[in-house]
Amino acid sequence: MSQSLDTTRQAVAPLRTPPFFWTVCVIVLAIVRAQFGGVSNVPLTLHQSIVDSILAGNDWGRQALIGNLDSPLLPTLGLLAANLVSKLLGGNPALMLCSISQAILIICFVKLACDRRKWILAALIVLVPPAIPLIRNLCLNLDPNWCSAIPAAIAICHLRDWQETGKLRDLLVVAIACGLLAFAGPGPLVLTIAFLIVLTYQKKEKVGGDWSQHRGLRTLIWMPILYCIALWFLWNSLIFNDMFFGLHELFNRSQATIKHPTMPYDFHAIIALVATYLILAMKTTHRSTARCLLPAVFVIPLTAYFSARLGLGPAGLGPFGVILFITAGTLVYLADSSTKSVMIAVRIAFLIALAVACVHGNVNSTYPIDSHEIKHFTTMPISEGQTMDAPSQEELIEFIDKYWPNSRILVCGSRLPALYPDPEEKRFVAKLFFSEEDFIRQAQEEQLHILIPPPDGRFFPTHRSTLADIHENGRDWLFLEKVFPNNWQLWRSTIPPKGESKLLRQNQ
Amino acid sequence: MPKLYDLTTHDTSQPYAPRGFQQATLVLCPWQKVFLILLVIGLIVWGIFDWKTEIFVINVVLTIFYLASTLYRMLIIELALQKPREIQIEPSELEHPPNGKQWPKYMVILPMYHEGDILPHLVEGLSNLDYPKDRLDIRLLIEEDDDETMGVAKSLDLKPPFVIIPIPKSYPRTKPKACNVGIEDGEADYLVIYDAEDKPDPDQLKKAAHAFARCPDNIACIQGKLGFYNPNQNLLTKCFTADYATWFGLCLPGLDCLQAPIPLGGTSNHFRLDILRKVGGWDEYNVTEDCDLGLRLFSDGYRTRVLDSSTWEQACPDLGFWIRQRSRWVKGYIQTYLVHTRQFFKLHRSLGFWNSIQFHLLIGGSFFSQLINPFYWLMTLIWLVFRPAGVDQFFPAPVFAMGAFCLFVGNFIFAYTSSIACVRRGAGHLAKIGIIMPFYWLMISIAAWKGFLQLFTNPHHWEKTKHFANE
Repeated sequence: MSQSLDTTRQAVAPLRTPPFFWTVCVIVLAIVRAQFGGVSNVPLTLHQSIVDSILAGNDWGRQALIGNLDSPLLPTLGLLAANLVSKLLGGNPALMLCSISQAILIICFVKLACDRRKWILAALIVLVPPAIPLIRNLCLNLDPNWCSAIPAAIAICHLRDWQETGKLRDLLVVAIACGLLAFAGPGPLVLTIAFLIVLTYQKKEKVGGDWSQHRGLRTLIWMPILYCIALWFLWNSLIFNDMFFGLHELFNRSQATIKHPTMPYDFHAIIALVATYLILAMKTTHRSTARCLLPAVFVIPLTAYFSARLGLGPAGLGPFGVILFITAGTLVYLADSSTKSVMIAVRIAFLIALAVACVHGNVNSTYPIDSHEIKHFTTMPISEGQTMDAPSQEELIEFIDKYWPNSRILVCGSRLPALYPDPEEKRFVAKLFFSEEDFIRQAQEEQLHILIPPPDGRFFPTHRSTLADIHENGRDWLFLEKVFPNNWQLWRSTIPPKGESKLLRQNQ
Repeated sequence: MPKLYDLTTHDTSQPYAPRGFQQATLVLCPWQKVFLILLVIGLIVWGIFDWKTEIFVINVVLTIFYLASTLYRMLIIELALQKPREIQIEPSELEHPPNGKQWPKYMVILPMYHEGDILPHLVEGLSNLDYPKDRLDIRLLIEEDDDETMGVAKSLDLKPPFVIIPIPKSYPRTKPKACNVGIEDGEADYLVIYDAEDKPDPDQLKKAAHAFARCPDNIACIQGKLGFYNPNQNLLTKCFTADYATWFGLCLPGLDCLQAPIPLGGTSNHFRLDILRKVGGWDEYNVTEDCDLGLRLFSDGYRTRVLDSSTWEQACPDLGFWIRQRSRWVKGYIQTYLVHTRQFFKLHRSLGFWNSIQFHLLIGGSFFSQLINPFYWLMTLIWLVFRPAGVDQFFPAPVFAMGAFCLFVGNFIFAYTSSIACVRRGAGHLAKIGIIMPFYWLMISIAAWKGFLQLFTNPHHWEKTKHFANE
């Protein structure tokens, strides 16, 4: 049956439109998308503070680029590129990045439809997603993780092409795109591995392709992602002198998980796609693609849940959900089956999922730490440091200026420096991780304070955390200067600095 | 046989172009000597006065060169993967001659030197060529003083289409000189050159005849693909196979797609014989005469295409001999580059802007990168292990970004390309070899330095590829 169906599909030669045309389409769609603006959010603040720090040449930026599980590398680099471009062209870099990413995502699927001369499908792909509240809300969220949607969409579209034509190039594009997703955060990495496992199994069954009988495809599929993972370890080693720095961070978080995390999105709609993908995977002409994506339907909510328990951001998972929706719609439209009831069933299943997405459209757009923090993050512009429970930047500076005008305040982790952005490190010194030796060494050079948030898992893992220990027990070389509301502590180093303050030198 | 064409007489008054075109008789022409001397002096003086700026500038220039080479290579590979560019001939087409009447006359030349032990296998293999024997002229080019090979050839009692052509003892004693002697007489439409150990696909000549008939008249050469019949012999042959698969399976088709100058591969070059004679045959002083000929054809307005037919060779299984062979190739590439840039502006006028860039990246870039790679690898290793202070000043952000791209992306793409090429070539079991290709590149660099140094000590020495008896 499958062969006859494949033959039917291949009877229509794919339409080949020049790449220039699609580039223009992406630009036009991105411009249209940009007109709708967007909503700032925590991931954007975090990524932007890293970008600012990198551009200012600070260590924290470099460290956070690699060793920070909250803000994956790929979106940060995307935002960095957008910042550089926006310096030339003007405009909001985050809006530019999200608009272009979303435009590429949509055009990938439009191209897929146009190549098969399915003009109505192409129109639906452009028009329907903005009408669905969940997708619309996710798209309006200026989350740099939209950047990760580009390789994901490219991978899926080329997977479809490969499964139809058997052209090796399509498989290579899938493998390289999946490799890039290794830099999109822990969630997308797990998704990609699940996807590749199924793809590896699927290629053995592939019928009709020229390359299926060749050995070595498994190597080609896995080589990019394994290389990217190896690179991540290498970069950890280069920046932290610890190849497993990121893994240690993950392990520490796993020792003190959040018991009742708030999920960042409504996952009901994605779970509602299970039936659609299951039917597509069993009895239709597009079962190969559906089988590769079926694990994602389960893995996205699971990964989001476990990321939330670990106190990690939902990096990239929202855009993946959107891609799953669009792919499901595309496959349902394109699929064919010898049994009519199967097609009816798959269409009904997809319509139900759409209905669920229309009803449940909530997007919290923040890290699923706890409801208190979500409220804080979504209602206050954290870049100004005006937070519900954290002392503000001004408050801290005013306090230390009274007694220690030359002192700087150390802020550790990935999120805390985002609350107190100071790319030039005039008053706040950012460090990705706290090292007592480094602190003491630096305190011998200049007067230092250190701000320690409450040890509730929001700003640093509580397990095996030196900061938590300091919060509880202090140190001989630290003096507790002030306790702010909600148990935020400001400690002052009692180590006499050898030289003059860096602040003084800068002022001079 | 009477000598119909003269491809060997030299005009001694023209030391750089003794046969009417620029040849590798001498390594450097006067302006190249002056330029290099001034460059070296300038670098020394600059280093004395301000070595930091000098290193910085050199680093910037080399990083940009690396980036350009990497992007160019990626473009070639992408084009090759997009759609097959090789000329494909269906088996059904081979039932009849391209003109419908009779097959064109084909000359096959086989230069040999001390290869008596493999000659019987060669004759047997060539006898299996699927081509009308009355339209074939197979010429065994054997050096006059090579008693061993000549003895074996005579003992085989060869009959037409086999002909033994004794090559008179004269200097330079190189393969291209033998080839030129071999084609000074005889008439044929097309010519192909094979090495003694080659095993071409039996239908290759018919395919090439059809390909020529299909192509316009300015297609002077059709390059068959080369592969190895002993890829699994050892690690070296595996890497060599991946390397060849990349060059013939991806790079040449990509260059074909760009209509770029194609440096021909040693054997399985099918020529229109009249054009080959017109351009003067091979440069007997150049140790990669095929590469030089490919460029000469291009600058004379002729083009080369790639044929989807393979010739199977023996991958050199011995590291010592492999390094010698590879050093000759690098030496030849440098010779070719220097010869073609002698008339710098004329070359660029004849090639045009884009083809000139391609010429520099492809010919100059390939040997140059092989020579400087070890230094950058060493620097990278030192940086990774010792993290020396002060290196940052030579790598400002844009340079660091370009360098990091070449290091982390470029090197991976090259290694990955080897794996892709193996799969495309039907040697998917060697796909994993891509992981260790960087070590193979290191050996290439060692050979490159050997060839580079030999260029100044013994420029015309032919490091002959040893053909091992089949095991």
